[in-house]
Amino acid sequence: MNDPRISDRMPGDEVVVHYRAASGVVDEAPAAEVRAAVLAAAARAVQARPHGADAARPGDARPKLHMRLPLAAAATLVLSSIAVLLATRVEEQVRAPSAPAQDEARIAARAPAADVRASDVPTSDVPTQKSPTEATRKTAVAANRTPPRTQQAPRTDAAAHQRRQNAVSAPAPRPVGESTSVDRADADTSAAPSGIRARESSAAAAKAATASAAAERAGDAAAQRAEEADPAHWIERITRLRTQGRDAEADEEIRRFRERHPQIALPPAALRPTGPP
Amino acid sequence: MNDAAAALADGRICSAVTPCAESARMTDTPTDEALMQAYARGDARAFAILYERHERPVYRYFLRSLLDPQAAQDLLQETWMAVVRNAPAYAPRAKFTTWLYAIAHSKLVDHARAHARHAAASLDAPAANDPDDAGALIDRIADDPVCGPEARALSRAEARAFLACVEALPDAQRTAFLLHAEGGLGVDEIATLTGANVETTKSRLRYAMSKLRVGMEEWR
Repeated sequence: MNDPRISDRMPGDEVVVHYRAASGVVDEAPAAEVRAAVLAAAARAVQARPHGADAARPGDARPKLHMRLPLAAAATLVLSSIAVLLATRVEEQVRAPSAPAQDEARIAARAPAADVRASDVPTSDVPTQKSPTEATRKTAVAANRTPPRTQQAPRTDAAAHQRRQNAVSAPAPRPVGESTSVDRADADTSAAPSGIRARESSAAAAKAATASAAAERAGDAAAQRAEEADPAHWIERITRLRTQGRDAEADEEIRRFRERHPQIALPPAALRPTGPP
Repeated sequence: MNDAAAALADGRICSAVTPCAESARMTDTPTDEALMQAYARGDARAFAILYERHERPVYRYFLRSLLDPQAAQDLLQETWMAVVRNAPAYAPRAKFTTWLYAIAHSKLVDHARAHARHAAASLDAPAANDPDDAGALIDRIADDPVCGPEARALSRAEARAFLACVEALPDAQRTAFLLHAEGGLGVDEIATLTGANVETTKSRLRYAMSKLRVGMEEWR
């Protein structure tokens, strides 16, 4: 500081002016490539951040935010509507198989083939006069041997029907004197024309499948006669009446059955629980 | 009207940087701060204007410090790339030139640390405050044939000789002088930027001025 050559004045004076003038004379400049590179990088950076540039503008971000809420609400509505529609459709599909009339009619239409096959089994049993247990086992095997999956319900009905029929046609031990009439009755039953047997089987299957009491009450005389010709079907009808609580009708049927087939013992299910009528 | 001009017109930038805004109102040209904010919002033309204003001063700052045109160009490019990268976060809390030369100075220090000739320690060496050192420099300048009277015949040569005197300054003094002469930074800003206290910075500037004044008067 004691050096007189050093001015106490602060910078910004003639030295700086002289320096700038000297720099101007020399005219030093960087290469044009540097400028081009820097300006290109600046332009790229601007293009690479369009959202940032938009967000920097006051007021521009708000409309976007305002648009998001209605869009979200609309999307929620659409999605919930779709979900409700799907749920309704699924519910209808679940409910549809249990619609009784159409499906029972469909089952009844499939029933005859299975019933015909099942009803053919006892006819082969008749000449050999096999024991009741053997016959039952054979019919069960026969019923299990033809199991098309789509005919599950009719096959079940046919098998049950066949078991009941066997129970009737192979009664419990009885007096020796009755054996001839029983055999004759079975022979009569099995000797019926195959067309009639098929018709009876299909009618029984249709009745079992639909469980319609109206058909029973219709009192079709021909059908009733055909049914009464088959003790198994008759017993089945009596049992059904009994389970439906129509005891008076069941008792009447039992009376007629015993008149027609005095040699056939009725199963306990067909009788009154408290005792014989 | 671009963003920078709009910002200038409604005074958004002017209120933040009062002196620049005042001068901008007077000259009707966008300030550096307004241009930088316009670029941060996506106006590439604002950046071009800004670059045009400060390209050569920043380049000379590097060139006088490094004496290597290629290294000066590299650092110039790095500095402006840093400006581009940091533009979205730019806030006009101070003059743009303070921010710009802070970046440039950090690039220079990094470069000096990486090269033996310009060690980082020498940039802020307190030995430059030594008056004896200043006297020796003046003697050196006088003996330098480029700075000496032999080169005064041509104005261009005179300019080169004077610039050689600048380049011959001790690193700390030269840095302080260049930040003042090229960037227009004040003593406080230079002190903050170089990490020295205000008095030290003021002394460095005075020594640099006095040495250059001697060299300058020898040409008159």
